[in-house]
Amino acid sequence: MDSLRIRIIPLVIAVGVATLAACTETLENTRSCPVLCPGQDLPVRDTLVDAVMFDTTVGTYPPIGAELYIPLARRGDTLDVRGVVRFDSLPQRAVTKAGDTTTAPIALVDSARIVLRLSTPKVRPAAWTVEVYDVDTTAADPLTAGALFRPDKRLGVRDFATADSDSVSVPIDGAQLLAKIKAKARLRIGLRVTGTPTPLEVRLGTIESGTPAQLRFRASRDTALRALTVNVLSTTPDNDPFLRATLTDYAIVVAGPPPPDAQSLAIGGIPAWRSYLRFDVPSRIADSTTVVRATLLLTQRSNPRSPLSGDRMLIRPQVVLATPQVTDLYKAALQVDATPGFFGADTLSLVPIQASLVSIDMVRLLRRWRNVPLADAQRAIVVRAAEEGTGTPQSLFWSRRATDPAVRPRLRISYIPRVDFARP
Amino acid sequence: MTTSVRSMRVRLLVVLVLALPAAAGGQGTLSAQGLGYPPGQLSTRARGTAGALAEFDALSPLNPAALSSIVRSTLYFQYEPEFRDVVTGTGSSRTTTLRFPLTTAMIPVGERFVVGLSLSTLVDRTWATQFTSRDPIGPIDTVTSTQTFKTTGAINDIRIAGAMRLGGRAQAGIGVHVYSGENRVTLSRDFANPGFAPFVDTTRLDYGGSAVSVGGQLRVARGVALALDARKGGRLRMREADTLRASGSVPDRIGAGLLVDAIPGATLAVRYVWEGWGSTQSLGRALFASNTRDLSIGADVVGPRVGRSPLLLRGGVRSRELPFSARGERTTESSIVGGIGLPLADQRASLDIAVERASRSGIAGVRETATILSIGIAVRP
Repeated sequence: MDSLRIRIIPLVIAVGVATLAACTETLENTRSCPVLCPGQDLPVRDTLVDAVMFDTTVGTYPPIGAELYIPLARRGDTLDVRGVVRFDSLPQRAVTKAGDTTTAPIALVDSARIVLRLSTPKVRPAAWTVEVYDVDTTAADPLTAGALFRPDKRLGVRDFATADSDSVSVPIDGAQLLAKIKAKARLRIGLRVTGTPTPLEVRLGTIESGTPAQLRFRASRDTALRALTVNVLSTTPDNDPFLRATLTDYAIVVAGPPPPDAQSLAIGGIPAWRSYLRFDVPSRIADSTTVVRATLLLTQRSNPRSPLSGDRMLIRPQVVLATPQVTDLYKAALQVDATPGFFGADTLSLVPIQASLVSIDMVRLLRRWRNVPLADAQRAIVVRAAEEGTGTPQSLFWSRRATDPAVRPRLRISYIPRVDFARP
Repeated sequence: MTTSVRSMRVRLLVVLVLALPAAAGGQGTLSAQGLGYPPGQLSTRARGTAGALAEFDALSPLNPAALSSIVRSTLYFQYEPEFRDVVTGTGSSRTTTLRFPLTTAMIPVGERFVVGLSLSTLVDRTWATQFTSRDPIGPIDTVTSTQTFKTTGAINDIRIAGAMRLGGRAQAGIGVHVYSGENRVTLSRDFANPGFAPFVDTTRLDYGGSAVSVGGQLRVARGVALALDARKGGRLRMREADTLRASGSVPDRIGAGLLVDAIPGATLAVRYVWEGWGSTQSLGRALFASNTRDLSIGADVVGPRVGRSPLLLRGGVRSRELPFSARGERTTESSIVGGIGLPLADQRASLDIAVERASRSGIAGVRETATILSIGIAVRP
């Protein structure tokens, strides 16, 4: 009997091993379809729909004063971008003798200069000149400063070469600065770049980029004394602190490309434009199917008038997050997702002078919109230049008002119809 | 029986069990079409005889009259993994499906009555398929994708039954069945092209139904007993997200068994079952459901003693039709089964083990084999 008991042990062990081996379920059968998979077909259908119900060009961007860099640019008569920097608080007293600790009213200005910090320019000119003007005015509209770049208002000028460093200074008239200090007035300077050949572009740092211009001067002829540094500050308008802060330094477009015609959508340029496209996907697709691919097809229109039209530029589609209650499209086009690729659309590269078909991936966005009530989303995107306001190229696309229907924006949708798959 | 003969039998069993994983084909979706694969509602003991003893087996929730053989309260639990192989013209796939197909509790009430509550699997719709294809998208495009269909769940039979002994030769029983269950079904398609977003759709089908069953057993002569039982199915409803999608009927069933125990220590049985699965046809979209027949022959014999208890040896063969098919062709299943029963703890518990090797066919070019390991534990506190 003991021997039988011993012999039964392998049987128990075998059953135990088999039981343990069956502890993990493996269900996937990879070889039996399609013969054993009736009714499991998932057909993918493809269609081209005019889903863009509204499109337009909105601009210009960035909003005044929000520039990371002021693009001081010239391109013949077609482009002239200037900058304004405000020093609304000038010092009245300073140490005037070396080793002294007491201050005295400023009665002398020596070595006055504007220090500019530059970013890598889009076009690095071989030789270029920066002119500084007194553009202070009592007018409320900050753009009126653009009319004050007159010879009688010029404070200083300096020539530069390509090799100059990214931090340059432009000397200004000390007497005029002293007069402002004594009058307790403010200093608002206008900056523009000149030179040949054009186009020219010099990117000037701003308070938004953390590299604003500075005013420096000495209140004595004693070179042992450190120069005074005056930082940018705007004190107007009184009633709008946000605008007051943004107007510390800003760009003025004195001359730029005209807005695009009605048949076109514009992207980029100086000033920069954005294309706004609102969608209405047919309910037979949006409500009754699962979209597996959605591609916005934009037909690019050659734009030989664009500055640097042969250069490659980057454009970025972004989803409009503004609700339908935001009816100002300029503002709506500012309320976009901040994360590149938020809805799966990558930054695209194109050349303005070329005419091509541009595809923007929108499948994740369409799926997102499906779950958002119409009252909560504009169901729109903007397509903008990746380097908005600093890169000069401008691309054009045919809008839904193009006379040729074949070049209008279209949405190519691949979808899987709703299938009753669960019932055997 | 000499020790050497017993030793040889035990060795044979060991070899049989050890050889199973290597030889196992597996069961595939040939058997699990439609509403799923019917495991048969057999206890491990009944399965060990290929189902032949089922009409007389108190643990199998089929014939309510069989409950009358219970003399002590019993709890029973069963585990049943199935290893499948499906061979088609494109290759073969091996899968493993885990089942807990039967749980039963039975209590004698007085000397003549027994009541029982059981939960068993009527049909198990647990399987998944996956295949990769390259399809045209629009006039010029093609896309490669992997499509997966997965379903898990079952329709379960909850039975409350009572049996009564009518003298020494006859027993009768009645059962009330409630059918409940769900299928969680997922359909997905993943595309190789990153420009496509994956498709996933998941839904759940809920089932609800009822039935009543009656049965009887009669010892017609010394060493010969007959069993007969029938189930009348009620409405079986299928709901999806609380919406009635379809309805049919729980299949009617008629089972008959003949038992011969004239030889001491040996029980031979034959069983025939008809089930009206065609009544479920209306539950599906493209369901190929048909009535089935099930014939089995088996034996349960007393083997060598292990400790103070005898080891029970079982075996049998079975041929049956499966209720659902992929394209309308009849799917059949042939099985050969072996098993043992081992009383434990002075008859207060028992361990049953059965191994079934099944072969299924029905579609030209497709063959499915399966090994089902069934382990049942009964406790009689």
